[in-house]
Amino acid sequence: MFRKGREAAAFTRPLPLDADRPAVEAARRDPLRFETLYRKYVAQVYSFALYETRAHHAAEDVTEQVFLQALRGLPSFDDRGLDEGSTFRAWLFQICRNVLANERRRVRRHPQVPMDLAFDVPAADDPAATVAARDEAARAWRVIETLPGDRRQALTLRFVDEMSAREIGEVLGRSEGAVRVLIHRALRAVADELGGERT
Amino acid sequence: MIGSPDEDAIQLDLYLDHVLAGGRAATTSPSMTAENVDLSRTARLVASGAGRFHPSFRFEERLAARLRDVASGPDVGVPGRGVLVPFAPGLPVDPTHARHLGGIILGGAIASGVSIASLAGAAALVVWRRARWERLV
Repeated sequence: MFRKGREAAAFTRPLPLDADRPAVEAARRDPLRFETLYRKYVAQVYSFALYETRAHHAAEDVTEQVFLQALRGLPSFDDRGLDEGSTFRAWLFQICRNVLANERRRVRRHPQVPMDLAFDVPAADDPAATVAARDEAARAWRVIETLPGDRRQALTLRFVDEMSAREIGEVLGRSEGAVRVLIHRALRAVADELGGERT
Repeated sequence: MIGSPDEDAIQLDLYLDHVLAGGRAATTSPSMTAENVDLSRTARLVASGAGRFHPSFRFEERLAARLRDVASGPDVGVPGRGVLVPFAPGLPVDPTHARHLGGIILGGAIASGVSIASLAGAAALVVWRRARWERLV
């Protein structure tokens, strides 16, 4: 017998499952198993911290604080589950944002000489074209650095950590739609700035 | 509504999914708005420069060791969990290695009781075998 309407939708819709739930449950039973989650996300958290701080040592400090706080806070982590992605990852990046905010308050300034991150531009047959593409990508990211915090972080989470708009919404405390608009406006700002630089 | 800020944002988000899924040279769809066709180039540019960085091996291992220390400590208490006492750094936790550990288990009260019983049994076995060996010789 087939169900109709809302009842059918509720019946057929799979329960949202955090992709990391088994690892989170294992770590809750035995905190030593937290290492699995650490190994999985250390590069993502470190990258995000590096894009925000532009300094390797500061990014390492932030990464260390994030994982120590996550380990200690794991029993209180609320695993609600997303339709896609991981609530654990979103929670981890929420911690990261808080740590970064505290770090900024402590330092009160960015490093005086921000590092240039190496940009990964696929090699082309034409070396001159490769150099030009790398320069342009570097320019785009320098513009992103100057964007307001939420726009900058939304672009980093979308392009570097490859999060969905929904996951970014969890991290930033915004709706999925609001994140899409945020990213659209952020890219508009980058395009306008690059257009202005070119003319 | 096509061309509204929300619709433009949804359309661009779908395009970003495609670009980030590996189609960095993705072409725009004919249904894209002029605004998004313009932004798609910027999106590809940003994607091409979005490198993910890995911390140094030394840092990663140092932090892993620190997390293990904290996880073993009393401040990360989860009710009902057992306490794993590492025998030596890097010792593989593998059932095939249990044989080499002589069945010694450190842990909760029950495990301790079992360990004491097995040690007592092993000692009795050694005494019995030595006595038997001496009789044979």
